[in-house]
This record gives sequence, C-alpha cells and structure tokens, in this order.
Amino acid sequence: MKEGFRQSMAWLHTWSGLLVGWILFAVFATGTAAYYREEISLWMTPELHSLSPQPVPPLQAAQHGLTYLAKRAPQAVRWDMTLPDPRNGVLRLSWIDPTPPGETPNPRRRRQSATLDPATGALTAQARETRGGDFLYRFHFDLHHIPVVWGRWIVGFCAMFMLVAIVSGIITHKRIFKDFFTFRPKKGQRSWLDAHNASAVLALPYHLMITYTGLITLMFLYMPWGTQAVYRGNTNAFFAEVFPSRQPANTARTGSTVPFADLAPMLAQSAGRWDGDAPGRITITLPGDPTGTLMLTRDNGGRISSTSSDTMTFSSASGALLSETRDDARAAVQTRGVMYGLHAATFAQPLLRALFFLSALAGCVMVASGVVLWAVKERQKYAKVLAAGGRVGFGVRLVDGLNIGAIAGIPIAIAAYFWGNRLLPVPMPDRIANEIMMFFIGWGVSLAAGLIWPTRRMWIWQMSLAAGMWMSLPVLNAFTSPSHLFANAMAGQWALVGFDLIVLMLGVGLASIAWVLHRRANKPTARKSAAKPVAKAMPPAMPTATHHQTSNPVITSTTSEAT
Amino acid sequence: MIFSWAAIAGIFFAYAGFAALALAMDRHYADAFGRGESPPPGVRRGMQLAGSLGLVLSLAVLVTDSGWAFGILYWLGMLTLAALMLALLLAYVPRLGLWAAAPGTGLALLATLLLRTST
Repeated sequence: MKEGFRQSMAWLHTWSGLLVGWILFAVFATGTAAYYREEISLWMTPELHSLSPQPVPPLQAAQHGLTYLAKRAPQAVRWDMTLPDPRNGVLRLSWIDPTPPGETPNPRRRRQSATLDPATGALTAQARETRGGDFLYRFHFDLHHIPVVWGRWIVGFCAMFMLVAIVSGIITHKRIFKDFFTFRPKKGQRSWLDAHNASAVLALPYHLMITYTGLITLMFLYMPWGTQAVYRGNTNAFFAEVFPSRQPANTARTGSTVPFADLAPMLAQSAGRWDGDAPGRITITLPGDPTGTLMLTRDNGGRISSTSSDTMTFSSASGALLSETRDDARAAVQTRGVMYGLHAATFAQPLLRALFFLSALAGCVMVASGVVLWAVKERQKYAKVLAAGGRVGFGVRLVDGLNIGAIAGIPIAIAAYFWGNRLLPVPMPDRIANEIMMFFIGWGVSLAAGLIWPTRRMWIWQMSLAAGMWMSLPVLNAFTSPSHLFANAMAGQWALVGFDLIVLMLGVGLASIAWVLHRRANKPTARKSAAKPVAKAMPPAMPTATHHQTSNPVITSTTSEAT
Repeated sequence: MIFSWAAIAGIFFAYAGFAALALAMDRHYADAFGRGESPPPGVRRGMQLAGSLGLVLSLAVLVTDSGWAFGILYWLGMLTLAALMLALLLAYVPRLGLWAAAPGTGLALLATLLLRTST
C-alpha cells in the first residue's frame, strides 16, 4: 500500500459522495420537507383552511363518522375512520363497497373516501385534488416516473454510498475537534470546506441515524433472502406473522341487520387499557351485521417505535371485547419499529420535530457543500488554463451543471409544485398529475439550463429565482386562500403560520447565498485592478484569474480590502 | 413540549457548555481576548471541565423531564442546534457569541429552578 489509510479514505469519501450527491440532495431535501408532510398537505388544500384548529374529542368525531357511513355505505364490506390528531384536523373516512356478483374482488378499486369536519359531522368543502406533502414524502424513497421498485433500489444504493461517505468522511477529517466550531466566511474554498465540515460534524448523530434507519425501513426489499428461505416465498404469511393487526378479515354477511352497540364504553375500555391514549384509527368490518367487528387501533403518536399495533376488537353488535393484541412484539420486530419510527419521526412533538428538521437542513447543506467543494477544488487544477483564457474540462463543467440542477433545481422544483397547487385551475382534469408535472418542469428547466451554461451567472440567476419563488409563497397564499399569515396567526392556525414562516426563512437563506455569490462574482474586476502590481511580481502559475479564491495570501488580502 | 422550562434549560446549558469548550481552544480564546492570546493551562482545563459539565447538565435536565428515550433525542437535537448557533455567532460576532454563554447559564439555571418548583 503506497498511500496512507487516510488518503485512501479521502479518495473514497470524495467519490462515494460525488457520484450519488445529486440524487442524495433530492432525497434529503424532499425527505426534510416530509417532516411537515401533514402541514404541507393542509397548506395545499386551502378549502380546509377555515376548519377550526380546536381539537375534537375522539368519541364525538367517531360518532359523526358512524352516522355518515351508515347513511352513505350501509352495505360496505369495511369502513375505516382515521380520527383527527393535533397535526391533522379532519376526520378521514374510507370504505370498500361490496363486489357485485360475478366480478373478481378488487378492494383497491372499490375503495371510496370522504372527509368530514369532526366538530359538525358535515362533509368538508370539496378540496382540490392534490397529493400534497405525500408527493414529497413518496418522492424521497420512490422517486417518480420510474417503477417504484427501481426507485427504491436507486435510493437505497445512494443511501449505502452515503453511509460509506459519512464513515470515510469522519476518518478523513483530521481536525474534527480542532475545527469543531469553525466557520470562516468569505474565504473561498476554505469556507466551503468549513460549511461542509460544520454541517456534517454538528449534526453527525442525526446523519448516521437517518441514513442507517433509511436503509432499515426498506430492508425487506434490499435483503429478502432470510424471509424467502424461511417462508419459501410466501411473503404474506411472513407479514401476517410479524404484523398481526394487518390480517384481512372475513367478508361474508349473514344477511340480517342489527344496530350498533354504544361506542362510548368501548372507547372508555380502550382508554383504560392504553394509559389514556385514544384510538387513532377505527376499522369496522361488515357494518350492521351480527358478526361485524369494530377494531380500535391505538394512536402511536407519542411513542418512538412505530410497530405499536395495540388493537382491541369488539363485536359491533354487542359491544363485547372479542380480542386484543398488545404491542409485546419480539425484540427483532421491536428493533425494526424503533428504527422505522426514528426515521419517520411520527412520534415527534413540535419542538423535537423542529430539531429533526433543523438537522435535516444541515444534511442538505452538507450534501450541497460537498458536491460544490469537488467542483471548486477541481477548478483550481485548471488555474493555468483559465489564466491563459482557456476553458475548464468537461468533467468540471458537467459537475457544475449537475450541481446547479440539483442544488438550485430542487428548491425551484419544490416551489414550482407549491405554485402549481395554487395557480392551476381547481376543476382541471388530471390535476394531481399536472401539479407533479410542475415539479418536474421546474427541475428539468433548471437542470437543462445549468448543463448548457454552467456559469457563475447561472448560479446567481437560479438561486435568485429559487429565493424569489420561496419568499413569495406567503404572498401567494394570501391571494389564493381564504386567509393570510397575520389572520392565521390571530386564529391560531399554527400549521399554516409555520408553513409561511419556514418558506420565508428558506427563501431568505437562498437569497443570501445568491447575494454572496453575486458579491464575489463582482470582485474579480476589483481584484484585478487592485492586485495588478502584485500579480506581475508573482509567478504566472498563481491563480490570480481563477473564479474561486484560494489560500493565496495576495488574494486573501485583497478580499479583506474589497469587503 | 414546545417551550417548556426543560427545553430552555437544555438548550442554554448546551450552549454555555459548548462556549466554554470553545474558550478552551486557542482560536476561540483569541477571539475573546485578542489575537495571539492562548488560554493558560489552568484556564484551559477549567473551561474543558465547565464545558463538559454544561453538556452533562443539559442531558440530565432533558432526561429527567422526558425519560431516557426522548431525553437523549432532545439532547442530541439541542446539541446540534446549540453548536450551530455558536459556530455561526463565532464566525460573525465572536465576542458576543462567547459572552452570551454567561446570561445563557443564568437562564438555564433559572429555568431548572422553575422546572423543579413547577413539578
């Protein structure tokens, strides 16, 4: 081995990070947004903004749901009710209509749904069709426009590289403790390296956790062999054994009809068993039938493990408790549940969610500064060529273009998605697909422009565009929803207020990057005139004409003059 | 818990702890006391101890308030937040960033006290 261990790790870090950096940035950015998936969905359905944010007792909500379903779908095979929670103020109902005789059962196609105001039991205003935050959530592990399984393999591949990049990065970073709090702005490559180190080191526990647990969430896809060997390909048997509450129920009606037993005692019984927790979901099979059941599933909002499948099943006719499953899952299932839960942070109360969000933003900065750093370093190798008026190599231009298309392109794409949500006509056919199309148009245009003109001007231009699109979202909201930031704050609609404030903050962040780039772009002229006498005295190889500054003392001194 | 006393104590203990650890380093000591200054060995040791104590106190408050599982999650998140804030302040207004640890410690102690009396 000629090279030292650290050098080979540096090589590994550079390439494992660069090759997957752009997809990783897209995954990280949309995954970051997914922490506020419910809030984004709410923002994207302005028709629901006028619902009161006051919590409604579960019993009241559930009874409204039963009344509606009994009228709307008495013959359904199954009813599902998702009760409102602090992050989602509506009562969601869905049901599966019976299969007409002679057709093969296809529950997915026969599924219907409705959304009620839990306080009044009235149907909510017909909300526009949108995937809302769910699109960003799904995109972050499925991608889009390609088969789901491919998307997941690609994301998993990138996540594996990310894990390699994190571990090799820690080894490479010699001054991890010495530079712990160090960020030196306005120093060119030094600043990029500092930003990369700080965003990586200061949120390191998060980065390791999120990458590793991300792989775990899809482990049945990536490593199916254990299951295949034991269950001989019968994956349904495997899942039924691991997740007992997901078993399908019987679907044959007896023919007679009985009224529903009182719901209140069932809820009281479950609250007693579950330390006062309310159910999050109520599933009713064969409603109205004497053999019908009513299953309460515990709201696992407050716990880290997401396997929590505590359920209580009652006879819907007599109200008697039929069976109960406890979350006494075995260690392996429990472990996976904790990993999954940590990754999705469904348990997180507002403050903890904000902390996760912040760490995830640091992750975005880490990936972005990492790929930019590669280009900045590589460009310096062309200092002589550039000084002679030549161009940098194809590789650098390609990386520059992809960097623009990812780092400016993804924010533009997400903002375009939000803008599309509000500006596309509400009754539009295929509205959901068109909204998503806006995301890809924004991204595609940014990427194409970046690849064709991978210049600093393009960086500034696209960053400014992204900043403008994000910062104006609160204004857009004021014009295209029943309310605006200040009225929402007065009404206590904190989810909407939070959305506006966060997009504003991200917009300001993008704008400040654009501003820094702009100021530095204007400097070379100032630098040339100021540094002329010095430049003559220096050997010609000194990078006086590079676009990025180096640790060259002459340039640093002119930097401090210019600022 | 969004703005609980435990959260305030947790974040400011972490911040003060990191600031003390920073003061034990040549670069940031020089930020506070002028170019070329480096901390005397006793001060360095003391700052390292005080800094570690700050981080431990932050963990202790959060674990007492939310239990081990959540306490550690909160703690790690707050360490990240506190360190990011300190790094940013050190980059632009280093003195302010370091001296802010003094009122920060006071606030953390006050919040701990209020937390104890309120429970």
